[in-house]
Amino acid sequence: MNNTRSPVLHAIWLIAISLLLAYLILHMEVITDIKQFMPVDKEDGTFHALQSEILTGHESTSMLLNIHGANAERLVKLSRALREEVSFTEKNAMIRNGEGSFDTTGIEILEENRFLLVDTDWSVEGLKRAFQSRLFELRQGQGPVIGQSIKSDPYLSVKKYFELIKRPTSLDENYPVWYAEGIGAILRVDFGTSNIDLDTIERVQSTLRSKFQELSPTTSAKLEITGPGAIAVATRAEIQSVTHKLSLAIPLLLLLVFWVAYQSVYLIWFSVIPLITGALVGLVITQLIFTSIHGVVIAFGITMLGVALDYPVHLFSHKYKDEQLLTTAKRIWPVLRLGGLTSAIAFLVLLFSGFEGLSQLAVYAFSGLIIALLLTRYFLPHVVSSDKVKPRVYVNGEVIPPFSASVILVLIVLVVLFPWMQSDVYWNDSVDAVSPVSPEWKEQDARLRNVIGGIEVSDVFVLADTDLDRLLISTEQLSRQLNELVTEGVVKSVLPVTDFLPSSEQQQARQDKIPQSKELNDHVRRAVENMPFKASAFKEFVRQAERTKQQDFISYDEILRTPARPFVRQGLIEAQGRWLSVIRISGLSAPDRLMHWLDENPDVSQYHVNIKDQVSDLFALYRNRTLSGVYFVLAILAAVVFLHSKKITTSLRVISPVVIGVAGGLAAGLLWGEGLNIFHLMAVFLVIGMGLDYSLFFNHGRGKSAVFARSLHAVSVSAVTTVTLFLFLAFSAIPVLSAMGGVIVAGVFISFMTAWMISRIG
Amino acid sequence: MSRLWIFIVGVVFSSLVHADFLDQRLSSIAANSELTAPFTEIWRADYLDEDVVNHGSLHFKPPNILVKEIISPDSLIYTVSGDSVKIQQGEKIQHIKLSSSPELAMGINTMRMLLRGDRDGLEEMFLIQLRYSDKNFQSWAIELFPRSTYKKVKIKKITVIGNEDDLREIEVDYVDNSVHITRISPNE
Repeated sequence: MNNTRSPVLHAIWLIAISLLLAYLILHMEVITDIKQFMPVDKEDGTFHALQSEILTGHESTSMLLNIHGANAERLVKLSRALREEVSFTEKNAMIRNGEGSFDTTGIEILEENRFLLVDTDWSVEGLKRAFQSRLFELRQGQGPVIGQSIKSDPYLSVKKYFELIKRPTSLDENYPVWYAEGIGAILRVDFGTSNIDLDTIERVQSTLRSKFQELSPTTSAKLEITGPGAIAVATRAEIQSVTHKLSLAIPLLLLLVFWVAYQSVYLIWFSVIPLITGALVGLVITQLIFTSIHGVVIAFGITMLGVALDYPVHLFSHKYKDEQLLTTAKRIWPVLRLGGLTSAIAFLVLLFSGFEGLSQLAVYAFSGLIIALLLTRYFLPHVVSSDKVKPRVYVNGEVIPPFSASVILVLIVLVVLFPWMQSDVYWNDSVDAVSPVSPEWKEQDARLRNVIGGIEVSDVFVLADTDLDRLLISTEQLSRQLNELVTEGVVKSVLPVTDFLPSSEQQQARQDKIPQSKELNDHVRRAVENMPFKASAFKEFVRQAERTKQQDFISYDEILRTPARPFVRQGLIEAQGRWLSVIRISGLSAPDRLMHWLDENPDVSQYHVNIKDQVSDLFALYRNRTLSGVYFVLAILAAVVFLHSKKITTSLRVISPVVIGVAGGLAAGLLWGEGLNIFHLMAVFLVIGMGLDYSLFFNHGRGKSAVFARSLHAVSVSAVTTVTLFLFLAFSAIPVLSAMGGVIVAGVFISFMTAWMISRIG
Repeated sequence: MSRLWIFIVGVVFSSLVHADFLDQRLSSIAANSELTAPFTEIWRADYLDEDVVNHGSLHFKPPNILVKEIISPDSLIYTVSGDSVKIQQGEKIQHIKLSSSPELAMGINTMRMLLRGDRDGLEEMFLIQLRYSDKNFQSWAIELFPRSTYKKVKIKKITVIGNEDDLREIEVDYVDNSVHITRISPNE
């Protein structure tokens, strides 16, 4: 009967899978907005907007290049040539090396508003100083550069405005490009649009490397690339490398394990049907309920569903010779159902965790596990040919005497407890702990940024208001207070957005200071006395000043059409109907002194945001919530198992391998890492699912030699495949992957051993 | 008909002679290879009652390095190398790109092209006219009129005055009537 029904059922399954896929392709909305993964009761709009800006702003894709290993002249030449070559081929990338033309589009808007944008000393003395400066420049041969602009503005206000862009640097000014002794030439790559993809960044990076190779094929000069864009590309490359290794290892491993365990590779296909179907149905249900799915849910959800791969393995391993697979399914169903349903219900508890990320994970894992379980029971026995399932059950699981099992169990517990007793710190919520960037790389990036006068990325001052102009006024007030830090030498400069877009109050004050035409004419006449300037030549200046007295203030929209746009966009963020003004600082020489100063100035410190600390706090919050989730899941498991068995001892036998496995997995994290984080806890969910599965099946076979041997067979197949595959992650260079891999490898192995040993005792 | 032929031959001959003299002039200037000479720089503009003058020393090293050291009234060194200008005043150093300052670039590039005898470069940017101001063809002037592509630079004309193989003066006349003159004194 199987032979005739199998193709039909296969076809039905394929149609169902195609429909699910079609639905997902048409409707699935994957989001990566961090807000969707924020706890709903801890939503901090200010921080979220700032975080979004950091994650999606142009800074998040920038790259820093360092050319070193040759003499300065050679490095300068390479810097110029690389910039020219790559700028020509990569139109998306803006490559800067400190030398370069300035985009003057919209500069006329700045010229029209020049006297509103910068402070001007309109007194005779102030004007005299301006004329003296111009005369000095003319005597230095700068006549062709100054040209006629002096006639409309002896202060050269637009030039002064743009001097604000310049940041203090540690560069060697003898060279026309960014160059520092001991470091070499530095270049910076930015991308014109914020929604640039990793493929583009990777392509630009590879163009840079190949052009550099062409430009410097034989010399000792080296090119190093750092910065968020380069880090993102390197992280993706590492993930691709792990994925590539896994894609080679998984088929080989499954072929080997299935051939050894079942004398058949035919069963591999059927073993993945429940997992694939569960994963797809899980996605569809999550999409239907939440209308979008967070990318993180897809990644972690698959891990939580990993236990579904064990269900077909149990079905195949527990089959006796000449038994129909349907009979096997019926026979093991109570245990399989208990394990599957308990895990599913336990994961469902995460629905009430309080933040949408875990709620989505709960729905995804619950629905996926239930589907995988049902397919194993009601679908696989009808499509798999029973005579092709021939497990090689050679090992007698009861070979270990109870005493030896007790000793091994005690040793396992001691091994698990050791790291917990040794560690002083259990949790590490620092961003550095999960950052894929090596400390050396981070140091190099910070050094280069510091040299070219980069802004501090972690310490910022943030003000918020629904009214933009009111916000600009507060920004001006706060930056005046912060300038005390410059005077005290704590920071080199304070960079408020109002340097580029003053508040209307400030513009009004500047407008009010402009003298009447008659008075200004008189000032000009007196200022040029004893100088070679003709007083009558500056009528245009007086007219401009008069016009400024009447004109409207420069607005946000207008300033965005000028070369000041990038600086304004960096300092003002519009989010959810309100504005944030971000005051940045540069050249922070003494963080301790900054903290001390902030302690003494609580009215300023309320606006201080340490982004690193905030992210760490957020991670701590996630971690606490997830830890509560782990406790809940374990409690639910214990309750369900107790309700099912009605015996304390049986419940303890079943639950203790899960608890010891979880503790063991986390102990491995403690042993190899610098404290546990949210990602270790995420991996624990798979350990719980698999640990329970192992425990139930070992317990199921106790005292029944043939059943126990088959349980050991199935659980061994599962443990071997899981541990081997996750070893690849455990040895990954990316902390998140290695944390999860390490916990799963250790946790699954310890659960396996503990469940086996406990089943041999008593 | 014969008059027309005479006219055509005359024009062709005169342009050949002109080309020949210009080549000679440029070659003889370029033959001096490195140049080091005192200079006086004058800026004349409609907003000034009197010229603004400075003095210093000029050094040219073919093909592209031009150093202009202003000694009085204030000390300042311009080092032009390729497209880059380094301006050094005591400890303070500033770099600008010639391409971002076309008015300055045209004067400097013209001087460099003249000093290295780059006729092709000059002809690409200017319409050239050579004239002699004495019977012995010793004093000469080359007038350079920017071609239409370079009109936006706002330079009306550049006049280069020389005596025999030496460059004596470069005068840049701007559209707004400002004038920039660099007088190069003969070496002692």
